[in-house]
Amino acid sequence: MNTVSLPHMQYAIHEKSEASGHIGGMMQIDAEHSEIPLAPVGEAQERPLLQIKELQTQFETKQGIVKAVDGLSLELYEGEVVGLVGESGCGKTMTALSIMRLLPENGQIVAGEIGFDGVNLLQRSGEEMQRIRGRKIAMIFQEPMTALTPTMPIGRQISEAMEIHLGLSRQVAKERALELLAHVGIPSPQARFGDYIHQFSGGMRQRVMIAIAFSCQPRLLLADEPTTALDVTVQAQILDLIKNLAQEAGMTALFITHDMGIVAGSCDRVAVMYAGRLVEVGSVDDVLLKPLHPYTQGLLGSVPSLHSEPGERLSSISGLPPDLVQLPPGCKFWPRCPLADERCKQEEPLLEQYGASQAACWKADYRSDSISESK
Amino acid sequence: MSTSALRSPLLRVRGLVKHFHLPRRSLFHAPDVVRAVDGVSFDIWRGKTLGLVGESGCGKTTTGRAILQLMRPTAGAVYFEGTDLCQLSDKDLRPFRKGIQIIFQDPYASLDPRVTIGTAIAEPLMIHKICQTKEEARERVQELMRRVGLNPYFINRYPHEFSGGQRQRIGIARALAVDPDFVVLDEPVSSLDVSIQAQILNLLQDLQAEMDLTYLFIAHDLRVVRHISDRIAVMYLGLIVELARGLDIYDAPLHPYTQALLSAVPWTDPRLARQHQRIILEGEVSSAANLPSGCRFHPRCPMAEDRCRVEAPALREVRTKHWVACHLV
Ligand SMILES: Nc1ncnc2c1ncn2[C@@H]1O[C@H](COP(=O)(O)OP(=O)(O)OP(=O)(O)O)[C@@H](O)[C@H]1O
Ligand SMILES: Nc1ncnc2c1ncn2[C@@H]1O[C@H](COP(=O)(O)OP(=O)(O)OP(=O)(O)O)[C@@H](O)[C@H]1O
Ligand code: SF4
Ligand SMILES: [Mg+2]
Ligand SMILES: [Mg+2]
Repeated sequence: MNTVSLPHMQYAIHEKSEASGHIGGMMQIDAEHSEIPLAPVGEAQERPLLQIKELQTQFETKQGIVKAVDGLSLELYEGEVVGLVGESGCGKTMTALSIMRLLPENGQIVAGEIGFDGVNLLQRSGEEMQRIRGRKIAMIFQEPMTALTPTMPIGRQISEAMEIHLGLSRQVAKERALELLAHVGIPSPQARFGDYIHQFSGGMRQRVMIAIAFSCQPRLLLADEPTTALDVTVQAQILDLIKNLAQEAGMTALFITHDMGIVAGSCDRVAVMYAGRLVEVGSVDDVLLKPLHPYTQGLLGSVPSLHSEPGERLSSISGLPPDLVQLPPGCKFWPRCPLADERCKQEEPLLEQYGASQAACWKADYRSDSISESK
Repeated sequence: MSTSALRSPLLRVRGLVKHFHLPRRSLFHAPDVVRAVDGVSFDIWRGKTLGLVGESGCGKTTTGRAILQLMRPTAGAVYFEGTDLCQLSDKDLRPFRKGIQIIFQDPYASLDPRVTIGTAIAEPLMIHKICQTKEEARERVQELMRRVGLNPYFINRYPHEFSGGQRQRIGIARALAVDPDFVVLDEPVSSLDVSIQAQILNLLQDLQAEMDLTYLFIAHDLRVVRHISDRIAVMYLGLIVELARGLDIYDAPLHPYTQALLSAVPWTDPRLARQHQRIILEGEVSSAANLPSGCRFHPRCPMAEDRCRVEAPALREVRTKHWVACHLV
């Protein structure tokens, strides 16, 4: 295991509030180079744009150490959209905030590596990270109010950042901000430019966040449940918007969600997270149609289908989500797993290749065999 | 049960209206009126579930609360086994309160943090004098806890010691303590994780079968509503725009709003998801304080014609037991 201890890694959330109003952070870009060329498809698979290795992020609490991310490894290749799914509290947001290095004050990355475009982000200085945030890596937060400033007109929130960090003139920055607002579907942007965020509906706020996230054409987009708080019809609009913009710009994206439907419609690959680690990774088709891990199967079985007989019993996962302070030995899922045996309770399964997917389960072998036999 | 009870609905809602008056902005302004529920009618038969869906702010919660008389309706009638609850004084309403219960979305907010869950579940038993002694109540509480899947061992614990799913079970136990006939479930699983959501949905179905319960199930998740409901009412800005058997609505939605709503549900099968064409609604959602003219959906409707902008469509039975409010259907 490649572990690096990083004593200087205590990044407090106040870094975010400092830059509040422009998550697009300290953007440094010259207008000519703002177009990112699409990666050629053949080459795309060579080196991952993002390579997380054995990441461990922990919180100190009165109850003990919360292992929010606990040895997570994941790669994102240029131009792909990867879904990160799992139940509330499994560590999805903390994974994204670790990449951004915007953890809450009591949180700390204690081990691992986050390679981005060939460099380890965990060894960048705070200043270098500020330049990377917003410019190269942008994040759309679940709750837009945490990332937008209530006291600054929304248009200014986009244009001011571009003025300072792209060196654009006030006029040009405003024009670009207006274009962006129109692009994300804000009707009559000219009229709404001076409005404040409280004058916007939830869907509109999310659009403003998206405009800010896309303003510098970042290479990597982290979208943390960007539509969870929205009505389905608005949700569909926003998902399509993010997908199209990312496609146009050849952007790589990590889509955090708990909705398997969003994964099915928006992602190329999916990583399933449980208790701070990944339990299954594969193409959307493989994972959603032929899940290997009992947890993935349980998650899929819990969602009422639009095709089953109404009223049919759902195959729910029994028991409760794990306590991240006191994780059981062995497989973290065994207390809820219908297949658990003695070995599962003692030895922890690691992610291994089964066919085209990877899974961390002692019984995955048997399952992938039985699936290929039954075909 | 008499044959007439079998044939007539347990609950009949007729022309239900609930308006809120906002404070005057100035002496010269008429007070703003929020027409949250603006003439809603439906029936629910004993032992069945009516699902009520629609976007945030369309009036689902207000409908539920006005039915229970937790807020008195502005107009309309709510017949519960033939008695119009709207006409009863608070005192005369009291005997009916036992039979109609509500389960809230937020299991955190609806429980008093200073009261043990044993006491919380026992409270309705004492209020409605179902149990005479504390011992009797305690026994009944333990039985209820077992029934909703809580270990009776936890009877003396406080709400904060429970997870969201467990708290929702406590809310269910409390509502069922008085052996109601009719339960309004207001987004009972919306705040829960999918795996816990499935546990609670299974529980609600089991309880309905065991206790012959009648549900009004309010939700915005269309997969959940399809799963649990016999019939579904789709609401838009204070009005029902479509009402039919669940499968009819999902297989052949007739109202353009229902069609858009259903097409927006993310498909969990990636093969279908890729082929699937969503109907993307343009325009912003209007509000109940500022209603559009004519058909309330017309500013977002992809099919709107001139007539839709001036004339409000009535809810009509366009196929057997399938009601729609749209000029073009
Ligand atoms: N500031 C903090 N102090 C202590 N523990 C924390 C803190 N922030 C998060 N955690 C814990 O870390 C774990 C992972 O949290 P995270 O926010 O990443 O979950 P998530 O998967 O994003 O969940 P959700 O779907 O609810 O957003 C959780 O168990 C949470 O309780
Ligand atoms: N006490 C009140 N005073 C004024 N307006 C109110 C009040 N309660 C609700 N409203 C308004 O009535 C309308 C309907 O609200 P309601 O809570 O019934 O919607 P809902 O369909 O339950 O929405 P959600 O899905 O968000 O729960 C909304 O426009 C709301 O702002
Ligand atoms: S390793 Fe064992 S306990 Fe863990 S998921 Fe697989 S079968 Fe279940
Ligand atoms: Mg999160
Ligand atoms: Mg509501």
